[in-house]
Amino acid sequence: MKNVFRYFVSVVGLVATLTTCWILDGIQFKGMPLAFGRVLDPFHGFWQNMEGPNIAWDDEELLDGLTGKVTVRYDSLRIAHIFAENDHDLYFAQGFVTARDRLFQMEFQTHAAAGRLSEIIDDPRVLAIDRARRRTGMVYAAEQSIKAMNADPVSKAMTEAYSDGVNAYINSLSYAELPMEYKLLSYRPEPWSPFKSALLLKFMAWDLTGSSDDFYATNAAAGLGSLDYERLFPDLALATQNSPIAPRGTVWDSATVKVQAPDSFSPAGVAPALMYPEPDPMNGSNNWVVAGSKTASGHPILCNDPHLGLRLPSIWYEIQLSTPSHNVYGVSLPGSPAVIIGFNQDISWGVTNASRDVLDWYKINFEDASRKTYRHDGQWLPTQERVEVIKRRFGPDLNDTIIFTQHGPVVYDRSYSDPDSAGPINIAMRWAGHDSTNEVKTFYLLNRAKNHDEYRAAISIYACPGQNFVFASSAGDIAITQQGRFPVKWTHQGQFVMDGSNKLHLWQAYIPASQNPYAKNPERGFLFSTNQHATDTTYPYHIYGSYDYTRNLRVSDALEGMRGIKVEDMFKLQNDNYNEFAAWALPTLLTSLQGDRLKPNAQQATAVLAKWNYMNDHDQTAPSLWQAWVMRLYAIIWEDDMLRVAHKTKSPNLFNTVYWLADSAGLAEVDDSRTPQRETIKDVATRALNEAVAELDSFSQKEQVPYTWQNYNDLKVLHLTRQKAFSFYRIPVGGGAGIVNANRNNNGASWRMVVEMGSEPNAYGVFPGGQSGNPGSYYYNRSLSDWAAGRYHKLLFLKNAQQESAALQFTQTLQSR
Amino acid sequence: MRFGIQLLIVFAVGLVLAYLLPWWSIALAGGVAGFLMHGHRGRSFLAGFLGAMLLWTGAALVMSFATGSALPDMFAKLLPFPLNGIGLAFVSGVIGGIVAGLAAFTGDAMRTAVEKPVSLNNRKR
Repeated sequence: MKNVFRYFVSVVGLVATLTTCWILDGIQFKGMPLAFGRVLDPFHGFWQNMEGPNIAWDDEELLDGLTGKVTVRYDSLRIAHIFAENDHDLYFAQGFVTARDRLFQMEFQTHAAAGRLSEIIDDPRVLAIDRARRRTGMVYAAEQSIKAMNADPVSKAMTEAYSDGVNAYINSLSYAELPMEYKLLSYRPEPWSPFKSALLLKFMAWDLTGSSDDFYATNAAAGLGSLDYERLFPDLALATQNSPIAPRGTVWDSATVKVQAPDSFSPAGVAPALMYPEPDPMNGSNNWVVAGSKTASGHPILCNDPHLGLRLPSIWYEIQLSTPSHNVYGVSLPGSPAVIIGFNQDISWGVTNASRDVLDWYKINFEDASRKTYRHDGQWLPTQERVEVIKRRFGPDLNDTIIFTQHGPVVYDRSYSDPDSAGPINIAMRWAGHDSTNEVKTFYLLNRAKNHDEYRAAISIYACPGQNFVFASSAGDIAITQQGRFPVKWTHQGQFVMDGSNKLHLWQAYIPASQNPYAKNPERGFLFSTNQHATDTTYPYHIYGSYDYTRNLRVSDALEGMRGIKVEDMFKLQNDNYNEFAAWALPTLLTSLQGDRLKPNAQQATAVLAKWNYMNDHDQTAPSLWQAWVMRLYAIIWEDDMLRVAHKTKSPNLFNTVYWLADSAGLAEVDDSRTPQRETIKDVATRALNEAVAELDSFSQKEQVPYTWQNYNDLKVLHLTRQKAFSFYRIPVGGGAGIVNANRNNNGASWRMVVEMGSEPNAYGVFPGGQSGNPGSYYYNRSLSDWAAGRYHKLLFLKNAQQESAALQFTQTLQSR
Repeated sequence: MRFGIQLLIVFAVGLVLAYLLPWWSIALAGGVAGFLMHGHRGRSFLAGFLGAMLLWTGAALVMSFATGSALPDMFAKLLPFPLNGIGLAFVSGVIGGIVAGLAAFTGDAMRTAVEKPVSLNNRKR
């Protein structure tokens, strides 16, 4: 009897032990993988991901696939300076080194692009995003792109070498060495491939061209009538005051390519509201270049600060890439070979978004429910069908059938339409990103370019997303080109949802690269872009897009007035918090206030605003007051008028609104059509300020902080998973929308670079994060505070693998076994 | 004394196995200690628990201080109750402790079960 009991106890103990181990090894709880044993074990779990300032890797790493010896030197910011004997080894090493710091980010971003996040995080919201990615044809876009990449031996070789390098790292990983996100979410990295590089570049293209007003415009035109629509949504509003990218007075040849417009055109009626994950329309950037005639040293200075979603791991990865035949330094995108923004011994370049409309929508009429044919140019043309399988981590697969017409994927159809729309409606998408183009080749060539002509040749093949490539050379040339593959459009083409059956509504031809907006060595001694209009109205092609109204004025005024420029002056301009918009609008609005109707706290606010120097500094309250006030004013003015539009839409542009308000002719819409009395600018400005101050007071009360710009603007840098624990909030940095230092919400200067092109490049840079993607690393957010304070790091441009520098901390040799 | 030796066995075997096997090797360490120094299941459990906790919490704290990493504090924020990185080291230790404790209990019970007759002076309940 006793023996039986002993056995029984043993069995109970064994079962309890194994069950505990099984549970702690990983279970699913409400769609969340939990693996407490694995994750919390200090010898394998997340504790292994802690890294101090010292680099603790082996001096030598043996990697199959290298043809020669690669030397990687790490500086005090853990920036890798790679010296390889040939291109293959260079990009292999770039893949390896980048993956070592950023593997989770590389895979997560490309999973996001491919609509595969549900394989990692099984959540209805994630599934909706995945489905939208599939329906907007992101995988199709990457398939088209890889065709073009593989057709070119150079881009094929570089993406394959990069991929092999990433895989060399992935294959070397034990569980303990996995990035901590894999441990937390309990999954393993899959092999990398050149296709993933294509996905990443399409993801970036989407980020910069995927925002679309077409649906809103269609609904607004239908609701307001064409007269009011034209008045309230003017095509080139205020453009006459702007300073365009190609300076005013640039002489253009007449258009060499012409397209036929239909005899008549009217917007196609009610459209569904947007359901896809629309990128931040504030994605933009600044770049400028000043000629030697304006600088203290006599050498050109080039500057660039791309404004993108601020994330951790940082969107950029700083790197130096060198072979015996070239040597380049700059920032790369984890997942793509080569340097994207940077400089070499002879030239430097930077990019901003062209903000041209290369995303259009077409209403499709299918012949019948089988959707095998659709109407086009008087015929029934065949469609293609593609079944997307979205795998879910814990749930059953979701199969989604997507019909393709010659326009592109029919994003909206009977299985995917908005509850706000009148009924199922078939709308196809035409996006430049779906074309078979090879962007990575441009960067390969730019990395090696030695002069202006080689810069022009390198970018001439570049298609999407359209960018303003600014350029400077040590030979003294400066230039800017708005480069991309832009369709030739007739007026209003692609501004609204178009007719898919009319062949004249298709993109008929592209503007030749030689006729893209371009300027070189202007007399004024500087060139710049801030996502503003590319040209004045004499440009021979119709341009439509969403443009900057204020930064261009500030930058052109500043550069115009500067002489004897030093790099420090450029630091100051990149970090400039001057609120151009407030400076011209605030005085008028202040005089419109009816003092006797202001509440006491609003009266105090008036005093603060009257004393304001228009600087959106982080420790001031005036920027918060201005922002809250003008946004309240904007909402009050349009809330009644836009009721005429039955479906989702956007109000007219904020800058236009305030411009019209201040204009002597006034704006009829100031009146609230729902009240018997007639409101004037005095009424709405007063009411808006009272409400804005009340809003700020309640903000302060709720958040228990003063409404300084830092707190109210709440600039944040979020981890890719949006986990608060790995993110940073309320960064003490100034700026805002429409300001040169364009930091707001979760968007801002993702990289600041200043390069003086003397006999040796004199370069500086900083980004809001760090080289390591590991939240446990000292280098995860190493530069965030420097960035916020406007400090720069001198970029260490090594001439060769042997050069000594006090800033170097570690050297590693990579070679084949 | 027996308790101390048992605890040390868990700590030492656990440390060695950690370099060879996944996280559950701490269970083997507990099991071995329970089996070798059997006689009192409750004591074995406690020795397994404390030996593993000492190892896991100790290792976590040593590595934390050596690197100065913010990661433990970040991870602690993921939990539904307020905790800091040092607290998380103790939570980790408790997890390892439970596993090793149960395994030590089982090792002890198994040895007792296979080894019959049982000498009475080893069974002080």
